[in-house]
Amino acid sequence: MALSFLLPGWLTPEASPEQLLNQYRDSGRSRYLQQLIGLFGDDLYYYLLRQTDSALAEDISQLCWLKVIEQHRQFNGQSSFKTWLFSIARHALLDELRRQRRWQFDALQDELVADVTDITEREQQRYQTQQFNAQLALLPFLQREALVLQLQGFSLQDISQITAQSTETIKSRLRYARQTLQAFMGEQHDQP
Amino acid sequence: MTSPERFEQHLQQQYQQDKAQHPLPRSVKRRIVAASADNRRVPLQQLWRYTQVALSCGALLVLGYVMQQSTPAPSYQIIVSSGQGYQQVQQHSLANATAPSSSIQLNSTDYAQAQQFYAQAQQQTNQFHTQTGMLKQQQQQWQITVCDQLQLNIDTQLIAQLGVKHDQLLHTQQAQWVDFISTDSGQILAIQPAKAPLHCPQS
Repeated sequence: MALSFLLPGWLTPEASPEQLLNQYRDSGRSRYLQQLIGLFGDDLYYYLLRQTDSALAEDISQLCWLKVIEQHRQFNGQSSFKTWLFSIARHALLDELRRQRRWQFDALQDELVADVTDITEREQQRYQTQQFNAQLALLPFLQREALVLQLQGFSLQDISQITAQSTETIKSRLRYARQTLQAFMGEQHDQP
Repeated sequence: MTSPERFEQHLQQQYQQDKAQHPLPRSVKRRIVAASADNRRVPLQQLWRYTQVALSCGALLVLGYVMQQSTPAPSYQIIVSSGQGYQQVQQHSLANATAPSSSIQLNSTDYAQAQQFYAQAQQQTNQFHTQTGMLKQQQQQWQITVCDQLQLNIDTQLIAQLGVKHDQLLHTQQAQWVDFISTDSGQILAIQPAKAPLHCPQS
């Protein structure tokens, strides 16, 4: 015990994200923050990147981590650190999209059942540059968000918490997202 | 149409590949870590401000103490000489400056205690000396003469401190007989109207 106290991190098991945040809160040392960024920085950036462009994803990433730095005492442990982090990011992203008046259009898209035929036509026009991100980009904002969060490893409950929506709504979004992507991939696989 | 399992596998594969190609840019990481370092400096800045305030308060206290030490309370000073037709001439004053070697400089605290003791004894003690003399006002001071034996010149600041209660003594231009009470050291404690005039021997 004495040695583990003298050599923190050497003889102790790997700290959880919540423990890292506590250590950062107590000591203010940036190395704990760097470890958190190492754990979740890429995931968070990718989530933001798939919801917007790279410039805004960088800005929101930075803003989000700055909020972690400044408001780390607001983390109450009722969710995992990652869920809390993505909640902050989502709020920041929606605030920015609303400010840029890009949110309303995307939000309305969620209410529409994707017209697979129409989207397939659009997807075919982009046939030369068909990439996974291009397919994702064709999904409505909220469906894409739910899918990306699930692919990040979040559970239905986590996604529900991050997006402040019921799990049934999340399930529905995921179902539509998968149907659309399956249609894309089916088309892709059907290509000669 | 692909099977659900194959679709999920493909989805995960595509997702992982795409994510691996789009990590958080290092420049953003650097900016965040730099911001964290800046944020950490804030408590140090606050600590420095508190230290400055504490040092300023301490400096003020020291300065006040030094000033108090360097400006001592005025002391009761008696300069003794002879001549002017009197056997002894005494100049009584309250002085801040260092007294000349010919003077008697008395502790102001002792004088205050003597005054207090005199007041508490209701002037009925034999511990003090009572003499009778002629009081008259000079230009910037008061003078008491005891025949041709003693002349006391008392400055107005000391007269004010004596708190002479008999206003008629100080508000008349005419010379008048007074009794003045003094300590063994010669400090005047009180001046009051004389119970009887002094009869000086004919020289």
